Amino acid sequence: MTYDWIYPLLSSGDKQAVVAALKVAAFQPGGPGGGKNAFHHREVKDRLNYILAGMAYAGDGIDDADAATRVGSYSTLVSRDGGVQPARNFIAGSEGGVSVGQSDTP
Amino acid sequence: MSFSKRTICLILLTAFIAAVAPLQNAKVSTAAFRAHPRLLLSAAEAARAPHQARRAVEGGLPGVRELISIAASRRRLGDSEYYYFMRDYAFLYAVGNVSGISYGTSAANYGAKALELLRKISAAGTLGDPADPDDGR
Repeated sequence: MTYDWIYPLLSSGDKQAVVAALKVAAFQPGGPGGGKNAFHHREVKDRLNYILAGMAYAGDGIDDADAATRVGSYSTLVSRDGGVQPARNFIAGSEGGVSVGQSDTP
Repeated sequence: MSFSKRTICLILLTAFIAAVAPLQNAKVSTAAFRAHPRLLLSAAEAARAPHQARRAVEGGLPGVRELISIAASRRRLGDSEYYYFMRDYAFLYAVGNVSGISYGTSAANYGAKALELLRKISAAGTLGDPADPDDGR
């Protein structure tokens, strides 16, 4: 968010450094078939961080291809079978509630 | 502020900034904000957003004025919460001055401080938010 909000203040070097740091911090998650499934709280965070980082630097010329890959992974990591959204809907259906908060998940 | 309150504020801030990110003031030009490519907003939508956001804030949109005040009240630096300060300072820079809010410094200074912290965090290669216990891997 900070990268976006103060974008006018960033030099080319700043952008390079932040994007490099984001790539490390928001690494590629396991995804469907990985070591952790879409119910695992760290996997959920890793998937969303991966996509959000791509959104931050999409189209700014630093690494547009990587950003596009990240943004384009939304359906695989979130909305389709094996994604976070079906997992949360499953929890909501099981508990009779809505899919916000899941403190009882692994 | 408790973690849960921070989380709620962060969500609200994110939603709000989606509308006001391009908001300019006397020190921040509209052209500068337009320089950042948008995934979801067209250039025309981005151009309209500042006017809509300012009307909303000055019209008393519930909660937004309080959120800005909370961000503006943050003065401390150098402790484990500086991630929050970085975001808050960036937020204050992006929104610009809103009448009726007591600011510690100018929007330009908030932006400069956010930049300083962003550089520090990037150089450190820090992973995630140290205040989040789930970040221990």
